[in-house]
Amino acid sequence: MPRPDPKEKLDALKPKEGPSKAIIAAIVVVVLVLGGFAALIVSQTGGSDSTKGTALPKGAIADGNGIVAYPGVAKKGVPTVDLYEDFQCPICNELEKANGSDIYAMGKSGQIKLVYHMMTFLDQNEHNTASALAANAGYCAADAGKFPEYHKANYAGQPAQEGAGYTVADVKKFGRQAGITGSALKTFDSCVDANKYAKYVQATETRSGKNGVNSTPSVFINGKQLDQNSQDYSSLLSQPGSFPKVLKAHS
Amino acid sequence: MSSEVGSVSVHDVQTRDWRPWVGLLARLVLGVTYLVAGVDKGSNLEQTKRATRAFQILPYDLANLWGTFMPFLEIVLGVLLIIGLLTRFTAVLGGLLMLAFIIGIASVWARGISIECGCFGGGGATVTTHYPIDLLRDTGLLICAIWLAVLPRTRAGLDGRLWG
Repeated sequence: MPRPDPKEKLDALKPKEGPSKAIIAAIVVVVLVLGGFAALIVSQTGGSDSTKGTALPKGAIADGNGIVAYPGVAKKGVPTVDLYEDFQCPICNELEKANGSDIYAMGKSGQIKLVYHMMTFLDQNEHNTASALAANAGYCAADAGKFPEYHKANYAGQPAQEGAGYTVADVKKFGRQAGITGSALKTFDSCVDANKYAKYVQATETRSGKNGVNSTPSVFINGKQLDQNSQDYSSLLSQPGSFPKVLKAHS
Repeated sequence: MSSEVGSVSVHDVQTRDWRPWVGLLARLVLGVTYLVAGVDKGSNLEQTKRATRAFQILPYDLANLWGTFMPFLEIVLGVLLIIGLLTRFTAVLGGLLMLAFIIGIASVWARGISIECGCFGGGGATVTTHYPIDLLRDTGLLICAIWLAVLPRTRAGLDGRLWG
């Protein structure tokens, strides 16, 4: 019987020589770099905030900078109140319930310049398009001079369960509840059906993100955001009638 | 299983080393976490971009870019860790990424910003934060990454099969 070749044992102890590690590492790095370039392109394809060449709803500020609730009535030197909301956002509805009527009243009487920024990112969270549908309907109502009324009716009709969304019939109903009638109602309905202000809806979402708003409701008084951890912010959401006091403290 | 044995070096067999088994566990924990997180984030890029912006660390465009790239990076790292290819390299990269997450969460906590970390998709503003748990989890994952960076030889990994 021949003696076992010692070379075999030695070979077994030697590390295997697989494919070049450098080549595999290079492939991984190339894949990551390509992914980086792809991300660069993809991240730029998000919606634009430009509204150049498109019709603006009545009272809307160009490039998605929000819609003035009562255009032309704000008195000189009054504070500007910017509200960033989403029609599907339940906490926005808390703000609406607690202080909506005061906010409308002060806007209507010109004591504040009231600007709404209707964001739509909850559509992504809820996998629907209800926020965009409602925002567009709001702008259609603005053309009839009824944005605040629509806004109020929409929140009153917000589904109890977040994410249930709105149908076209829902938002048309809100338009009627807002008091749009006659030929204006016809215009409103066709504006809803045509999704006429889709571009302004997108522009508002993008612009709001650029303004540093990532959550709703966000409240700005004279351009300064109200801290969402502050007592004043939480009273706006929970204490009816707290708006004038909070406004005074921050303007 | 002879192929199993083939992936473990002779040295390991002889000393009955337990460390490659810990390495396997670390690889799977870190790898599966990255893969799941990456797929979740990647399936809703707009939301991930917004969650990234909510940290208020990077400027708008850069935050969007990072929010788009990060899920892809996580998926690549997750797959490489699970199959055990280039373990040291991926562990170092994965550890640095985890360190960035820890710094990010600590930073929003310190600045009193209330957000959901978006660690597994979702994210954005919230009323109820859970930063201590987020940080504890990420620290555990960082320890996995450090273990693998120091001891990249693990059981049942491609590295072992290719290069012993």
